[in-house]
Amino acid sequence: MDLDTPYRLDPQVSLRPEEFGALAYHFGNRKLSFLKHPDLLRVLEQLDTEPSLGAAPESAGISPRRWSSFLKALETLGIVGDDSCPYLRPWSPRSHRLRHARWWSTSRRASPRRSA
Amino acid sequence: MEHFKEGLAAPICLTWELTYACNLACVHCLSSSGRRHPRELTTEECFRVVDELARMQVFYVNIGGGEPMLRRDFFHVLAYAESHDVGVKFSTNGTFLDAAAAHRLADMDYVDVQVSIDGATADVNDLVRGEGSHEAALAAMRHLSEADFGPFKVSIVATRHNIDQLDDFKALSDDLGAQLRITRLRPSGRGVDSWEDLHPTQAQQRRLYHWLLERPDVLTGDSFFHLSALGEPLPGLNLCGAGRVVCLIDPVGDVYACPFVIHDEFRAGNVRDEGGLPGCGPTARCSLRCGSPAIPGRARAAAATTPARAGAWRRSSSWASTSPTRIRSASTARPMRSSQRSQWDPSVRVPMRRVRVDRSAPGRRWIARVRARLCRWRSRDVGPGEPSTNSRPASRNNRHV
Repeated sequence: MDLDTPYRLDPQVSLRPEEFGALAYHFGNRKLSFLKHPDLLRVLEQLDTEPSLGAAPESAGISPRRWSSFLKALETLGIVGDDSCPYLRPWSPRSHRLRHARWWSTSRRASPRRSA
Repeated sequence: MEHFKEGLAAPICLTWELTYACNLACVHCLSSSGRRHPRELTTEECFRVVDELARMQVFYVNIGGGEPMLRRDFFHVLAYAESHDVGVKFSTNGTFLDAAAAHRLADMDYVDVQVSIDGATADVNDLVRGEGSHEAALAAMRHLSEADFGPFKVSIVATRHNIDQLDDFKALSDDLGAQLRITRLRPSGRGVDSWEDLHPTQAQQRRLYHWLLERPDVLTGDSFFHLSALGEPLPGLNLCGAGRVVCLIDPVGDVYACPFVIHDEFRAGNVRDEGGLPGCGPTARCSLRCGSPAIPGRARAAAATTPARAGAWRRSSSWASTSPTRIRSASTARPMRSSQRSQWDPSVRVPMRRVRVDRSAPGRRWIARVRARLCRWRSRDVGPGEPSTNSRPASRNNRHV
């Protein structure tokens, strides 16, 4: 994962706040994951407005001592599941347009269930 | 895992029995299905339930029944759930899953299907599920794989008679590009009556445990966690999730803590009530007796579970005003009512009570038909299994028949 590029949550991922942190469900591969700290959820929610992945913990107000562990957790999230269904995707205005165009027109075809 | 014991904001895995109507009358049916309930949820009410699920962020719902495809608005409810980001996994006996329906399902993104079958051969299957059901289920599976649905699931309930066919089931599902899912027979609903004849013997359970250990790709829905006591734990939560991770909505909207026991004792409320589905958590009056030997398998499984606490969904608004101990352990449970006590103590007399007429109860003729099948089932030659060793469970879960 590149810490300098912006990342966004995959549109097929849904986050549900819980007392212990959050539940993350990926509608693509139907996998449920556990985010074991509420701060991790805050970082993920912050991602949408961040210029780069590395900047996310700082702007979520996480103390610098814990940045490395958060980045590690984010990195794990990026590769959770198989490669076709990551939780985070690198983002650029172009990829954003492309993906959403694809999402609306052929969302059915994009489902990994069909390709499996 | 600790988080589950504390309770969650909402269930993760919610079972929704859409209807009690069913074209089959399987002898082990958990919900004693057969006849449609006259007061079952209307389409509008189903949509409202989906709205609430979406608001509670329940990621997916397991739709069952009865035969859910018998509802005329089945595809409407499916489409509505999908458009509200609530995934659907539904269970069918396959009778109504023709080519057109298979294509329609394949066009939906967040819908998974499981087809139930209880024997690799028609003779084993049809004794439990009724004549012609094996053929219908196989036809449905073929339709699904021809429609390029993707990996659907083949769901079997492990019984004394089909447990020796596990390898055949695996071959069948591999052939169709499906996933095999094996669940436990539960002495609930009509399963109370057929338990004696169907439950796997202890030797078979041991064999099943080793078979499952060797095949981690076979799904079990965490239903064999009682076998983890035999050694290396099977993959899964290994925890009783009633009221913590799972719950059930029945066709009339009643909410129960456990998806396998539709019984007044575990009723938490109704989605038609003022609070709707989120309000059902705090009113749950569940006294789950985890150590009760009346339910076979549970006594030992209790070792793997701790007494459940916090049976309410934490996000619901009235949570704070109620006592946190909703599901009680055996030690803190209230003394049994005389009606319960009389089941094992003949000296206790049950006071006469006016019996509430249950309109959901199936008609007499229908009961006679199922009973007759059960009788035939009992009087047939005992199959490949070994004789029973466990005692018969009390039939307190038997509401309908």
